[in-house]
Amino acid sequence: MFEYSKTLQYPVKIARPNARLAKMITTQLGGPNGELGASMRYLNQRFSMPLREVAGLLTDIGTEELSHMEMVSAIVKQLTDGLTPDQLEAQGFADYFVDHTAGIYPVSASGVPFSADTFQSTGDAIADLSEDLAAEQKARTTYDNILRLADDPDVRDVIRFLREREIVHYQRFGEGLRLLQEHMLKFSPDPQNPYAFNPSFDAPPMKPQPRAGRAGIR
Amino acid sequence: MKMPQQSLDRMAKADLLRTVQEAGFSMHDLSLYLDTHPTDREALSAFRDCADCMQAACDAYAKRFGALRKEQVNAEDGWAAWSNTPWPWEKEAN
Repeated sequence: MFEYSKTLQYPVKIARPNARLAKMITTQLGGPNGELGASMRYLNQRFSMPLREVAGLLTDIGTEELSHMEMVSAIVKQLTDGLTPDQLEAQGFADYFVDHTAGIYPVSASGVPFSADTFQSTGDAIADLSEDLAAEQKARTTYDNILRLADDPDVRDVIRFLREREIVHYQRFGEGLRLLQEHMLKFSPDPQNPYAFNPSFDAPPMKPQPRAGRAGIR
Repeated sequence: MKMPQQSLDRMAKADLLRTVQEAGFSMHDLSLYLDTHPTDREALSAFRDCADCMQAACDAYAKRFGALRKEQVNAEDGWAAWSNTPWPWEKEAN
């Protein structure tokens, strides 16, 4: 179950509004490599993740991406705060403004609304984790491109934090994939080939492994 | 909605989990009401009771059956008490 904490994961405090920048950054909410898609990808995929530890990783990263959605939205909100319609139009924001005023709506930088077509949940844990690795790199590239275009230090500081998280997630997903492949070799009908079966669909359910600690907890 | 500590410590696993879920849901439902009725003192007091009951039941559960929240993990049980016990979508967890 999800619960809300009334704090951002990393502070967002932007002194100067800039609607042109807001329009670019909104792509990390609703665009093809954005945080909404990232969150939905992991939170959906975790149901078919056979290794509990890695299901935990998907839960944790999927939840963190919800917090990143909130941060990206906070940036967009603050970048459009207090601007007049004339200013918004002069800063290239009229096409967003006409449908959404200064509200938050998940679209890409070019105005395409968010689509579940931007992610997959294949029901095959190897395919899913491989997608996740690529997704983190695509998000990192998008943040790199935002950093090429954005000169506001308040914005750059938050974007650098979000970019760094993509790299951390990539590392952890790589480790998750390795854990899963090691596990699969134990179950594979061909001990040389971890891809001989779908670990989410064909394998026996994963048994809880014995663990250290107090007896009586199960 | 107060539950004496002793009875929480003797409750069966499934009953204790139900208590966490019921108190948590009451707390949530009351918070929706309080969002639109922020000065209702009776509702606030009911919310407080549910929140305290949820906390006590949640801690009692974690102590005996494994963490429901990460902050309940301790060195003795290890991280596996969080990551290698059934996830909520597994039948065993319900």
